[in-house]
Amino acid sequence: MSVISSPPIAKTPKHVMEGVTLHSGWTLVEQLKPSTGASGGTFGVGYRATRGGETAFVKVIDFVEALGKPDPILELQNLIGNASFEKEVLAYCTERGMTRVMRFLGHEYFFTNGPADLMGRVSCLIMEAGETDLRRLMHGNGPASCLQTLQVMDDVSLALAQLHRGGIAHQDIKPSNVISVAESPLRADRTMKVADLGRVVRREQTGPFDNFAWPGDLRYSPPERWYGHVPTDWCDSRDASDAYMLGSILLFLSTGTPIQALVVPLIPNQYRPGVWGGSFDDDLLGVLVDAHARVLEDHLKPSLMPEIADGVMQIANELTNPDPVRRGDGRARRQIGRPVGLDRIHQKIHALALRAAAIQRGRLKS
Amino acid sequence: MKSSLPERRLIPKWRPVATTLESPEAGTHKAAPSQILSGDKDELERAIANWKEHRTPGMLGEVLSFSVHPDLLPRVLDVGSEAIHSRADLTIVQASLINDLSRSNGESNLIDLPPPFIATDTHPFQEPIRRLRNLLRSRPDNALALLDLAQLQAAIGKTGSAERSIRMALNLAPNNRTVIRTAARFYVHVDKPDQAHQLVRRHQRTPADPWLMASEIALADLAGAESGFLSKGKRFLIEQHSFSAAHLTELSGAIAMEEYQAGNLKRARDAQRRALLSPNDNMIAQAFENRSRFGIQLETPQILNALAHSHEALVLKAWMDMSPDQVEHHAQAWHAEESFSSRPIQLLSTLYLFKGDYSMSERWISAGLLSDPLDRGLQINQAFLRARAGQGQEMAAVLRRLRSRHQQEIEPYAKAIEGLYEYAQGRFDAGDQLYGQAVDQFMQIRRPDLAAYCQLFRALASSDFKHPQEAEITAKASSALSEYPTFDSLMLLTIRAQADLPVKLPVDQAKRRLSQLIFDPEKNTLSVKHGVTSAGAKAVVIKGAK
Repeated sequence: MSVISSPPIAKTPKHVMEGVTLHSGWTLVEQLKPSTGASGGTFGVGYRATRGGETAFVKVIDFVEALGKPDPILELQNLIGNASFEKEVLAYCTERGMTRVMRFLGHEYFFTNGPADLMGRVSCLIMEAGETDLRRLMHGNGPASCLQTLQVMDDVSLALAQLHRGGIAHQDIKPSNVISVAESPLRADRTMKVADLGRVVRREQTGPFDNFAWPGDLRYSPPERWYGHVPTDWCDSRDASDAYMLGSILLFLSTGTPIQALVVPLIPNQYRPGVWGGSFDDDLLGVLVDAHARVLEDHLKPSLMPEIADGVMQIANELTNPDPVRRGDGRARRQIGRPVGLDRIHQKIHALALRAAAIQRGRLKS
Repeated sequence: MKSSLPERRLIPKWRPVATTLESPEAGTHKAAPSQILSGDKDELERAIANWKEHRTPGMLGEVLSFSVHPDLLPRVLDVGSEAIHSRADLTIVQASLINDLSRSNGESNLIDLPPPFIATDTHPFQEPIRRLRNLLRSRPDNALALLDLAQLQAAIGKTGSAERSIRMALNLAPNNRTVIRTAARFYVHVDKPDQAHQLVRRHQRTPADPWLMASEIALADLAGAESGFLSKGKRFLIEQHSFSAAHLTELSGAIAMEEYQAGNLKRARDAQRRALLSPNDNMIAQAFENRSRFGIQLETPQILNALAHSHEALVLKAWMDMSPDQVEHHAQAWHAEESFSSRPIQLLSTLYLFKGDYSMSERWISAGLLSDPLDRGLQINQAFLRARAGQGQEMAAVLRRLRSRHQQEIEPYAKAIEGLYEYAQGRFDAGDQLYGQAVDQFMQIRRPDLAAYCQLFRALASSDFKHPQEAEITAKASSALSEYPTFDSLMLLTIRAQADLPVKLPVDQAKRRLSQLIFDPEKNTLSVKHGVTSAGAKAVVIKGAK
């Protein structure tokens, strides 16, 4: 939800909603310009909305732009399909009590020029508003402290465990989609939630992104997708991808750089994505395992509290295993159905965060 | 006298993994995917604008995330360079990544790096071993790190630990070509060529993999077994057109050696030609070792390029060119690349022995025997040094070990060394007798070249220890050397610069070319004719000219 300049675009009803008050009482007070990697899933425009003392994020979609496309029927079909899917997913997550996923607050249609002008009708998806994302939280003294890192990881891993329990794989976990909210008065620090469910895939339900080679941002994708390898099993292809992106968040918090950007330079030229013509086999995996191991050893380990370094390194290795078949909690992967086990990983991170907090308190006292 | 290097075979090279992974043997013959992973330029510009507005390390991290797209890397580097020069908030890892990306893009360092830590009070392998152990402690399934660890373990003589590391790597990545070939090379190192051969021969990957087929053929030769892939390899060369010459170099080279040994010289030369179309460092070293056998000129651009990247071949070339400084330089580089191997150490210890730098020679021998305590060549050199220093008991102990293991084969060398010891003690008659027996035994096994080499050592020893018949001994050596010069004896003479033992190069026979240029004056065209030419053929042939 950053406010930055972007090239001028033709204005359609979704662009002229500033100052409008919806039937539900939300007033759209500020149009938000798109942030980097705002895939969003739909061609919406974001607004900050207020109602009394509350603040919300409203995503507005209109149908005019679609009508100008070469195949308007197909475009409308996609637009409606994507918007409905995102709304349903958000509503489902809120209903299931997913506490670390941005909440769904409602949905409504609105006529910008009165009921007679059907072209001026827009769809408004109202959801919880955050304060800022991980990229802006990391400032001043560089990377987050080990304790802060684990607290953020605690929240994000819980969010993913909640989504996975509901049969949803996020597929686009990255720093801009991890948002801080100030909802919990009990915690002095911020609570982080996962946003942008526009690219999710659902286990029990078909969706618009099921057949995409990679629905999310390729910069943050797991390594198998760089090479066009899509595992057949759900856990390996979907839940394991989320696990890898969670591991990348850990590196981002600790070093200021996602793991992907650190790994690629360590891959010998002939094995690089776009160059390697072979399959995702033992030859390639050996190289990827080595490159990942070196990144974690050289860049992650020095940033960790020595008392908990082994525990965090074990989690980092489990999350960023380049082999999607083995990625995730080791014990969980040996169970029937081979779940990735982000719930177990969340528990381990939670325990490490508590320990880090205790160590830090002890250091402050002494 | 010292021994020559053992015969070289085209078994896999065991370099540091990082070096092997850059070579074709670790790659795939399949073409790169047509889909290019290009990034979104507009997205990047938005990320840059975001960073310029907030200038947080987090926003810079977002910009750096675009570096995974090669097409966007220059723009990312512009921003990275700006961040460093403007002293913007950035993490140590970000600064280091920007610097590394900049250097890999051919630019200079953007940050001041601390000098690399070099421990002066520890063994040179201690630090790399510690680092590999740390890597493996947090990631025990890193098969490639295990290969590097095994190499260092083998270099310091811990062959049991090295074998465990190799076995673990094989369990972790049983189908990884680099792991399979390295394991095979390791078994050769520990004198288990049968096991090396069986590993490659039985592997499910070998029938479709020219690199493994080449290894199987060479290992079968070494193990004295019948190759299961010689015929298949020949068919493979004819039928498989999807493999580039770089992927077929070792297979062609291995077949060339087999054809040569079978007496099929024409086929051998043709296979050697194919092997030299795009040789790797292993093949080029093999070609230099066998250049007199095949009589092929090693001067094409591909060969010279491969030569520049093979320290082993450069050592052999420098030895043949009688350039001791180059031998020293490249042998040390070769040793750094294959620290477990005794071959570069044999050459270095011999070179220092030739130069009369006996303490340096002794140091290299000790390092080599740590890796392979039973190495024949190093033990011969060690016995030579002991004899020269007048350490009779120590010399006898080394010779006893050699005789118990190698029996008759070692006898002429042992006699010559004992002769040297007698000279050093001033017992010239006894020395003459022992040297004479050594020469006779070399002649009996039809090695007049080694007999001449032995006579050269005797002449030098007679000079060093003031033998009363020095002139007569030198004349005999000179006569033998003029008839049977070898590169070893010529190198020794070059270094010692003996005026009464003139250096006489062996006559270089006319070589065959791998291709010829054909000029057609009628059509005014120049074409290339591929194929091994007759010996001494011209580089350019004018069509129709008599």
